[in-house]
Amino acid sequence: MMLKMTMWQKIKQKLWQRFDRWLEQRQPAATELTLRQHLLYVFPSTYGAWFVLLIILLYVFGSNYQNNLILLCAYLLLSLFCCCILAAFFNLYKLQLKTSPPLTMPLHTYASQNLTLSLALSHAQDKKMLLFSGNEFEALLFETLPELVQLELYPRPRGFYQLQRFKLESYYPFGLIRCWTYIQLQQAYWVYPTPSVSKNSNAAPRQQILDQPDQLAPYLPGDPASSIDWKRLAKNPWQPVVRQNSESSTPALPKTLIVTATGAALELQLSDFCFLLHQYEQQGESYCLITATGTIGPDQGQAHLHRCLQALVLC
Amino acid sequence: MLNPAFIPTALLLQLMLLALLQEGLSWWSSLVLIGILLFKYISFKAQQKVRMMTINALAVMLCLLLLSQLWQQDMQDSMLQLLFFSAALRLFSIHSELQHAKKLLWVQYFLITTGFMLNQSLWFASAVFLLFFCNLYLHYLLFAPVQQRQFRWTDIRLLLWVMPLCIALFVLFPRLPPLWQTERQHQAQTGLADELSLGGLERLVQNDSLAFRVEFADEKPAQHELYWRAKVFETFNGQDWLPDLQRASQPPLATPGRYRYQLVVEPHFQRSLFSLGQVSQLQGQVQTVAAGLIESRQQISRRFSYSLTSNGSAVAQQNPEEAKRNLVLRHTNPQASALAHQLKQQHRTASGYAQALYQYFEQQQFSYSLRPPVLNQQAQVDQFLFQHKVGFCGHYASAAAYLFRAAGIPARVVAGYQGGVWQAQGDYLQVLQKDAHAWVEYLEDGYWRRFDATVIVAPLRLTQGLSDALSLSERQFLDQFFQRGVLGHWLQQLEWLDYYWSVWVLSFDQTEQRFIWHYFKTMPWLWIGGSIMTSLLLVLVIYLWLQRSNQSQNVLLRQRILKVLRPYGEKADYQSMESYLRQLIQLYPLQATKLNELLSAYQQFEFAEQLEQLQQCRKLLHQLAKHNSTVG
Repeated sequence: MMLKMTMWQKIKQKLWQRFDRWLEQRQPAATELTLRQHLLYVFPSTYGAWFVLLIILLYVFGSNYQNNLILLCAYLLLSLFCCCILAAFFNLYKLQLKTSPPLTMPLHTYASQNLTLSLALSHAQDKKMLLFSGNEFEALLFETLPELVQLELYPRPRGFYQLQRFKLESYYPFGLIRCWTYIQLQQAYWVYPTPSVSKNSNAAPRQQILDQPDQLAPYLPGDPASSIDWKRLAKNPWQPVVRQNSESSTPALPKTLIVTATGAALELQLSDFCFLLHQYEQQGESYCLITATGTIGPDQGQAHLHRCLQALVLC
Repeated sequence: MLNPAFIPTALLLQLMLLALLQEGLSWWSSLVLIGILLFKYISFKAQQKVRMMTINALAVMLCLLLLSQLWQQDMQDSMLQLLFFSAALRLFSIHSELQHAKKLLWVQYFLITTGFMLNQSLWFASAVFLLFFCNLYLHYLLFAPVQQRQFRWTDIRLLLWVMPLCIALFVLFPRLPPLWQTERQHQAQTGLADELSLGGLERLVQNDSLAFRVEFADEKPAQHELYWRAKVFETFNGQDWLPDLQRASQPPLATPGRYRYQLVVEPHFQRSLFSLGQVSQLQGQVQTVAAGLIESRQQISRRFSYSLTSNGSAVAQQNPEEAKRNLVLRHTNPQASALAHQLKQQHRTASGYAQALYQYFEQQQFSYSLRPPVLNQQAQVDQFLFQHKVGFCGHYASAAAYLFRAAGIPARVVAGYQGGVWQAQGDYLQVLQKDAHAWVEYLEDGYWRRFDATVIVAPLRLTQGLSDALSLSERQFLDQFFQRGVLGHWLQQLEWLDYYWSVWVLSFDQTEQRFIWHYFKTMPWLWIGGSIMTSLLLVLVIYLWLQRSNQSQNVLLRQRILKVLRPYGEKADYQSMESYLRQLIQLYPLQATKLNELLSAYQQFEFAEQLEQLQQCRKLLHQLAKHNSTVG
């Protein structure tokens, strides 16, 4: 029994793979897509099958009692059914889908957070009752289509993902015919590590090594009074000493983050680094990241930040 | 999520359906259904949910109740009730589930359509179709956006497509013959009874409803020739005339017909049909039976149509048996028998005897009345002929047939309808139940001649109809049965619509379908196909031409430049027009001036939109082309 099940599952899996490959050939991923004949599939729904049964029953009934009006009703329902095929097709036909990622940065989210994906639709005026469903997001039913559809993708572990093929279907009108399509849009997205601060961070010491200690220097006329070391002045009033701040005196060294951890610790470290990178970026500091594959930076700015975060993702 | 309008509309629909299908529902089921609908309305108003258990229990109870009533009811009515119960309970259970609503719609489609089993008249059918479209609207609401209540234009367009397709299917889709025989039991028969007593037909004469309608193809018979034969009674037991039990079917005689006519019969739940005299041709699901009568193969439980050809003459004798059978008489009326013997001795021939009988009825002051005194003696014919001398067609026919038989002339009583009212708008004859009539046929020279004493007694009965033949008081007596309001009169005016509804829609069958197909086949398809093809080609050419002239001048110019300059060198895809032309200028220094001019003219036309430069471009291109051909 068990073996049989697995056999069946294998066959099923094989068939699905084959189907996926076939779809891949039929509709390769694209950033912009117009639903046309070769992408749309039309078939009666379960209720449609029941409806056909009703038509057959009425036809037999009408024939048997030689009742023309019952026959007329049967024909009316039959022609409604036929016209529904066309109507269901045209409810999706020519609909244009386009990914609309943010312009300034790559589409991204953080692990264990939702990602909102926007799709721009056009030629959607008379389209109704469209259901978006897929593995990556909760099914969404639109009674009338907005210009911009926003899909909430489920949270995923860190990584670089391709938007999967999803299904777009409609039973409109009358629910007799289902028209659907499997759509693959060319849209990649990054899931960065969750930013977090851990207590036993090993990144902190490295950071402090790079910090210069304060230096003391004898007071010269013209030095700001605020920088005078008042404690030392109290001990030794004849030799005033001023505190010289390292930042002001020497150019700041870029902050360097080196990915060193492996295994379970790696994730923690990546989370820390993610947090730190954001912090540096906010403080307007220059920073660089060193991973096993190479060094990024030092630099600053949004583009650099995302480059670093992407490098973290790929660790 | 259901559309908020769904449940109220469904409730309204079922209520209307309940009113419409009253005929097929028993009183207790109507009561139960009203109860369910009312309860649903209350629970809907109060936003309460009904438990599924309650509904199931109710369903079981109703089924049991229905089963217990099964032996009393017609099968078809039980089916109807079962369907209605399931629809009402389904509605009862709906709260906001799509699944239940889908099933409800399915059952309602079926239920509404079975309404046509009850009645098919135009008015009833329009009401049923109205409900059908109401259900369609519910169906639409179920799958449309929740807040939407109205059809949009796109949806109406869909419905517009449905209609012609439906009509085409109706006219052209092949039909099946009945798969199994169905007869309705327990259904009150209307029309002529299976026996005729001396005072028979009384019940019918008081009935104002429609019996059948006739349309004549070419010639119309005179009013006094319109004797519609339906039943022949050949056995007399002293009180009643009964039909002969032998019902051998036989082919119609192939004699040329004078009248061609189509009849549409109202359901009377019998098999007997109506015809004029000797029938020579039949069309439809009918057959001829003994005594030259027409019968349907099935009980007439819906409007039924058939066509006949008659020559209007007397019916021929079929076999010697017939003559013998129609002589049998129990002489229980001594006075009448004596009269017959006396008359027979004076008149040898059957027709002479008939004449004598007419004279007798005329001379003896017989009168016509719908309220004759009750015949209570054993010898009813004697009592009528010699005591009361008042009666209507049943009395006269019965008495006359007795007199014929007593004189040794085979005779039988025929029941049917006489006359009818010509409808001016429709050009068809409308025969009502009150036109029911009885008369006698006697055998002479192998033909059954008609003898109708009513002609003598009440001549107006034949030419003007029943009410004109009666005295004022009798007419008032009759009128009490025919109360008609203003609306009734108005509806009568519209009856011709109902007639054509019956003729064109209800009685459309395989025969007519075959005729239509035949008509299609004989159409000149070669010509039609050819003309369609040529017109399509013409349209295509015009379309292409328009398309071409629509293309912008710029595109055309670019195409022309490329074509003319191709011998000088091909333009690469990545090149702009300008770089292409500059390349040519370098390659062909001889033509450099012309090419330069061309370039500037082209640029001015294309980018500065100086339309006059187009002419310049064309001129230069022409020269370039000429030069190329002389060189090449």
